[in-house]
Amino acid sequence: MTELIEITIDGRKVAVEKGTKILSAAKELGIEIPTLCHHEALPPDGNCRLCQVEVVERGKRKLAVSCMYPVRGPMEVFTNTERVMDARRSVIRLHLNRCPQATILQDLAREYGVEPLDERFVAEHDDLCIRCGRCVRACAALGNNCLGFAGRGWDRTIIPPFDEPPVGCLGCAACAEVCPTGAIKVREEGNIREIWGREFRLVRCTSCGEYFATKEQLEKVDSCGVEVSEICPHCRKRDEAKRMKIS
Amino acid sequence: MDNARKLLMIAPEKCISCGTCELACSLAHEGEFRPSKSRITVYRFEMGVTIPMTCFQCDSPACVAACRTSALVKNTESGVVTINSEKCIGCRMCEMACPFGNIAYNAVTKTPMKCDLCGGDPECAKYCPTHAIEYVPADAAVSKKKYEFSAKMAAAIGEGNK
Repeated sequence: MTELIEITIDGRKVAVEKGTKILSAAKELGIEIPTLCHHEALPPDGNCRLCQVEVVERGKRKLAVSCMYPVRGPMEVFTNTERVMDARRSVIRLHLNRCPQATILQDLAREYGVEPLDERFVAEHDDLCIRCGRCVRACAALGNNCLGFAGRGWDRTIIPPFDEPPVGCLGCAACAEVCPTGAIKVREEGNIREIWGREFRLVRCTSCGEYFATKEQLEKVDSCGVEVSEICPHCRKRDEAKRMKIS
Repeated sequence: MDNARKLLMIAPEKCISCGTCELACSLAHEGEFRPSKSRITVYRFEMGVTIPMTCFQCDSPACVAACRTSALVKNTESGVVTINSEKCIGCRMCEMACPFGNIAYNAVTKTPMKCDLCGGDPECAKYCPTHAIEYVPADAAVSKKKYEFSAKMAAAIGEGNK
């Protein structure tokens, strides 16, 4: 049996399995910790630093990133001390400096009372990417691994291999779906979907003629052992109803 | 909730195509009367022939097989294919995989829409005025279907013998 450890978060006790991350333990108590890069389906990466909390463990008091920090022994966690708020405010300020247009950051800045940035430091570009890596992890979860980090410091970016249109991409746009700031753009016009500089020709429903998916998406579903047809979901449903009508 | 596995039994011959099920479903799940956001769809064919369609909660679901993040799970106890929308990454593989088109992706709420039997108290069955949709224990549903089918077959054979 797995070992249960009792910890205290904001004065409330909770028993969690050894190795549980503080963020999940807090969630069990209904204590909300703000996050940007965390996604329930994806492994934690600790990139955005927004979920910092104060941990008192073995006589030491320190800031920790709650999505990555495992419960290994008895500890006390504080999620809303002045030190935590200060840390979150500076994280929000840094993100906002990079992406002043991101509405999610503007909302956070308002909520946490982050001072407006000195105009000398505001970036003069419309970058929306906070380098949280959700897209990288989502693509990896699908088994495609088309995205990765490149560069360091301010020049760190997320690109497909060699910054070329990604060969293994399905055009499913899951990366855009999980992006917290809407930085990844998908263009769809007629029978063309464009993402990461790659154009996909969409498959036409053999029943109604609507363009509904990329060939690569259907092949991927097929590789999961599911037989797919080139009929769009709408027509499949109608066809099934028709079959029921006849039987 | 009792432990007996229950399922939605749909009798198209009793359906009067009023669309109450669609409204009840979209109200319960999305908080608005909007059939396009309903997990059940009423297909209206020629006069008098209507078929309400919703998730079959398949025994080996294609959507679950296609889901890479375990956001879709077949609950072995209740038989329901459930969604954990927090685990969905929006790849739409489930939508492409379902052979019956019974999952649609909602791009606004960023979660797939499929019948979850309202957690054991389906609104569509509750409000169907003609009991075309009923929520019944699986055994009763299956035996009733079997009985009706055999009755149909008997009638057909009887006709053939005339």
